[in-house]
Amino acid sequence: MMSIVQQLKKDKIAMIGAVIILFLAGIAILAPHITPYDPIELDLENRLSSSDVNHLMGTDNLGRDVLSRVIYGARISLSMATVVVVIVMLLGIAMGTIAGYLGGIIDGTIMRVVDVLLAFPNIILALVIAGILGPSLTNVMIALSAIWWVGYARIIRGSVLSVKEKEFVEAARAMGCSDTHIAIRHILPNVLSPVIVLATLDMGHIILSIAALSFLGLGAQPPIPEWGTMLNEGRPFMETAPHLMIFPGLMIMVVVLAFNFLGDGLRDALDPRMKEVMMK
Amino acid sequence: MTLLSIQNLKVHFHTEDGAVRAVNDVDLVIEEGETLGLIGETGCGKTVLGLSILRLLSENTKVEGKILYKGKDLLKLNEGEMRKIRGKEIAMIFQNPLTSMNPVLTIGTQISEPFELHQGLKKKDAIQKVIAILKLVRIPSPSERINEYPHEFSGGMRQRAMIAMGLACEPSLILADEPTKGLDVTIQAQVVDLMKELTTNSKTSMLLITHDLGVAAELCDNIAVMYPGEIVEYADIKELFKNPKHPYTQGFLGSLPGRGLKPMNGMSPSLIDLPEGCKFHPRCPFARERCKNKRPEMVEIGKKHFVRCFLYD
Amino acid sequence: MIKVENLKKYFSTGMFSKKYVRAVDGLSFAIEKGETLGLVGESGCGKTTVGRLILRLIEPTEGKIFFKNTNILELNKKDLRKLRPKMQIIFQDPDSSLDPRMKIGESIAEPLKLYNIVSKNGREEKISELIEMVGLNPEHINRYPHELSGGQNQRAVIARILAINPKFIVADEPTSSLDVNVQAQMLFLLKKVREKFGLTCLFISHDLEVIKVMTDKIAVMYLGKLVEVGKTSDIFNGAVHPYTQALLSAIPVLDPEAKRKRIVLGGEIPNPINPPSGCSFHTRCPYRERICEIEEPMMIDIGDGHQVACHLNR
Repeated sequence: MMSIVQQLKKDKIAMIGAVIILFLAGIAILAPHITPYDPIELDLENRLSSSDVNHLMGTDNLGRDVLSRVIYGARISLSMATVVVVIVMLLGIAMGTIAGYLGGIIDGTIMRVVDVLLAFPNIILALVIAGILGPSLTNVMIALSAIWWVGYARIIRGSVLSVKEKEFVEAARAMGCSDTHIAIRHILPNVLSPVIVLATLDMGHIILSIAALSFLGLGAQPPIPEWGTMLNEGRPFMETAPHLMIFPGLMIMVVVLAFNFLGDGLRDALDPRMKEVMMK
Repeated sequence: MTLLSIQNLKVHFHTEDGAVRAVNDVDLVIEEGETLGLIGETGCGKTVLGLSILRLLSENTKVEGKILYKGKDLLKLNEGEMRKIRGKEIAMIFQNPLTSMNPVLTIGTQISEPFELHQGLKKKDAIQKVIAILKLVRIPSPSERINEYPHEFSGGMRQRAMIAMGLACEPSLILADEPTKGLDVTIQAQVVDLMKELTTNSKTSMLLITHDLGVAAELCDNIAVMYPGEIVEYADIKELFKNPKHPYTQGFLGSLPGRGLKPMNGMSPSLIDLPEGCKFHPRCPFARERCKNKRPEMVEIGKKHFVRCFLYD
Repeated sequence: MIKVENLKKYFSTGMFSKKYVRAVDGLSFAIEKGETLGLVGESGCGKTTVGRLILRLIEPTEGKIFFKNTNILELNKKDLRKLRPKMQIIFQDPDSSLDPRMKIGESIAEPLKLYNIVSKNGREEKISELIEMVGLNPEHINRYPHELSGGQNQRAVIARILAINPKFIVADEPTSSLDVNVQAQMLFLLKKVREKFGLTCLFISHDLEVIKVMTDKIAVMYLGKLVEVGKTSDIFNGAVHPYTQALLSAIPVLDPEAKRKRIVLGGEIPNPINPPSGCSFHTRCPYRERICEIEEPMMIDIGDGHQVACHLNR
């Protein structure tokens, strides 16, 4: 594990990603203490003002401080994406391990479900589910969790299938270890690396999807300061007050890029061929 | 006549773990028609030594000394001149035929390549030669087999095809790196027989790099024993088996199941972390004080029998 | 101790294919207590499958396997797990026989915890004891498998197995990936622990020289079937089956001056999907007769437990 951290430190782009993520996580946690204004407080006197000393990012059509809203947006996006990623990881790992380790009909059933879900673009399926459940942030999370686990299940199943054939797993069986013990103690630790990479990359994708669904009106509802919702609200004023869309848009871009940078770096650090070289 | 003379060869390169001193002050001579066995355990640098002769090591490798082939120093040739040597003058037989062959080319195409390259033959004539040479290495129905891919051949046939590739241009010297590793005993016997026939019936010289003394005993005229980075003993094959002098050679022979199965202590040192003085002293039952500090020189203790050990000073 | 009767394992070649690879095709043999049986054969003859079958790591197609009078193929999952620690296996590749994410000490501790062999306090002591017995240093306890050499990992595997006090061990080419001297050290260690623990062994190898020094009895396997069984000394001094003779003559002799006649077998090992009719060895046999192509030879006892399946020896 140490060598992975050291490897990452050498990767400048990954480090940039990590610093941005840490910074955003910091302001998300401290949001109530650092925001200059209440993000949903209306100030109808000061509508649509552009950047100035009082409002660094200006105000929106209802006079709310855009900076405060963007900071709260980070809180919402990061926490929601984390929850979704944790859920899909657990679900995917469980399904993938069960399918790969037990094989047979169970494997066939799980993998057909995975294939069907993979056949549609994620965002379309999420749209359908969120549409049926009705617009709300919780429903968006449910919708995304329900479809996003398949990628994890598939990766985990593949790794489990290859690790399962290794002699040390056979040795554990010969020793009389139970199936659960073998799966948790011997197989899982050896298949987690690709999942960690995928989860990091997916943080970005899920933040993007949440923003997209919210932009379409299926996710966070006004006045919640979600980035996608903010984009949607700013749309009618695109020409007169472009800052209403520029700042949330920029934030989405920066976050997604940061997670991609870090994910790519992690992938390189965990690449088995690289590790092989390092071990020899 | 001396075909290849290696003088004072040093091969060092860097890895993440540190500097690898793979070959240190190695002197070797191969006469015309001679088969020399280079014996050693995994990681003693024997493969690196073989690759350095054909200059197939990566760019950052530091190679010093001289490798005189027919009087020319191979280390001073430019890449173009070297290419003319590879395959045509000196051929290499690798240890893993499946990965040393291109999986998407047919056997025929691969073996005919050197003919077209070095002898300027047309494709059709080259294929005829390939069939002849596959017949020589006893591949059944070669005219059909040339259209098959490496994976369609069995392990033994692939190894024989590899040998055929090596022999294609009638080289003066063959470097064979563990040519029988991983083959079943009966198939190994076939390959050894084939190599024996090919080297005794022609003037071709061979450097046989192997850890298998049984194979070496069947094929070689002389043996050089390598212990991490250096040659510790050199002798005529009969002399070496009857009268091994270096404690490592004695221990190595003694550890064979057919010769008593008495293991030596410890493990060979890594090429990254070689001991001072005699490289074998930490494991040597006869080690004395000076073995720890001073590196022994090669001494001639009999006719063409050399040992690098203070016991025979 | 171990008795195998008419053991068969056919692998299907594909989901919809009716073709089968006859990896193991009707094997019968017995191993007495404290005895080591060597199973010899070339790659693809099914010897590795036999090792896995006897421990029921894979399910046989047909046959019976007795461990001390219990047919282990009739045991249910729970009873089988209870029996497992008595029968252990050492694999060919030591580097993948240990969990790469576990330290050597953890790997050895696992069976101790599983069967609660020693109390928690005594565990460390027991591990040190085992580590020392197999010739590793205490510092190796906190290392990972990739930090150790193949030989050291194989020692750790042996320590882990000895932790649960097995009665029977399958050693599947335990030294074929090791250097000569490390192989000698390993065989030495195996002999030592075999004696100390009174183990019964099935020693699978293609290396006849190793088999010669390690076993009491030999079973020679060709294309899923046994062709000759006998005491090690009997086989080495008077092999009867032409295949055994060829195998023996193919051993490189360590004396360059020795003159000997070698039987070099022509051809390749046939494909087990489609084995030859009659005696499966007839395609490569230098002495084949007409009957060999038609009729499969039976295993016959030619005295003193020496059995051979060959028409030439009726």
